[in-house]
Amino acid sequence: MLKIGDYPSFSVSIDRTRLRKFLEVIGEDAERFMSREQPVIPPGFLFHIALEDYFDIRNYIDTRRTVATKHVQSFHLPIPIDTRLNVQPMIRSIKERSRWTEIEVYVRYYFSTGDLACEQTTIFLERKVTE
Amino acid sequence: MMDMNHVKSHLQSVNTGSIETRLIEEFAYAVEDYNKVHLNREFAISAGFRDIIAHGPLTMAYMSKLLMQVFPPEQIKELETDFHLPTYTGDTLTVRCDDIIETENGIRCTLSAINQDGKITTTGIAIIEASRINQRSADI
Repeated sequence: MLKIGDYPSFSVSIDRTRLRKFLEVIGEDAERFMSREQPVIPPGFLFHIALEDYFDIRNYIDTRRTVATKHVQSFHLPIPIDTRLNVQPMIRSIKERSRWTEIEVYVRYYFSTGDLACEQTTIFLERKVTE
Repeated sequence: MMDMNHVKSHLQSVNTGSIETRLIEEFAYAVEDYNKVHLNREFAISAGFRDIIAHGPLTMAYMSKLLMQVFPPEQIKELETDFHLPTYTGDTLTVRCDDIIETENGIRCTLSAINQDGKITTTGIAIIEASRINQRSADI
């Protein structure tokens, strides 16, 4: 049963190989990007690192019935690559609609210093099973 | 004050080309999201789609690519996206900047992704923080 509240925190670090692949997929010049004075994580990348661990949460959700409909990434500070971040996920709200359950997942990323690096909010819709 | 029409003229639309299964698989590896709805056709169909669908954040990534033509990633304070339609394997998206305005806190870009049928799949709003705008973007 999915519940509102905090879920266990975990840590992640940004893998250069994966970031390079991410850049290649969208046709960015990965070499040029990586050679910048202080390469940082571009928007769109961080989300799935946490989503991988959303699967702890998603153990409670049937992924065949769930789609993401909204995603917001807010960077409080630029996040350099090769940085370890502490991730704190929570379910902020669960709203029952007639055909869907709307689940708001809110994730905060912290630097090891304790400074907030990024906040993410994702709205998932889980289709209700009908008899 | 920056000339927003001038900035917008540098934010050229991004055409993704045909989004093939291989590209979706590579994106799955890059972002560590191996949800079967993106990788297994039978599973995707069982979930109510007609084929494999691309990750929503793949479209976000193309929006980032568009923005990074002018703004380095450290200047992008926020990116908010709404996913309206799935992107299927074989689809082609055009990601564009629809509007750009200067606010007291920075720059606000309205973005959209449109598929080959002319339908909007994703809309977005990006906030470029004023305090992070550096010489590169100011020079545009």
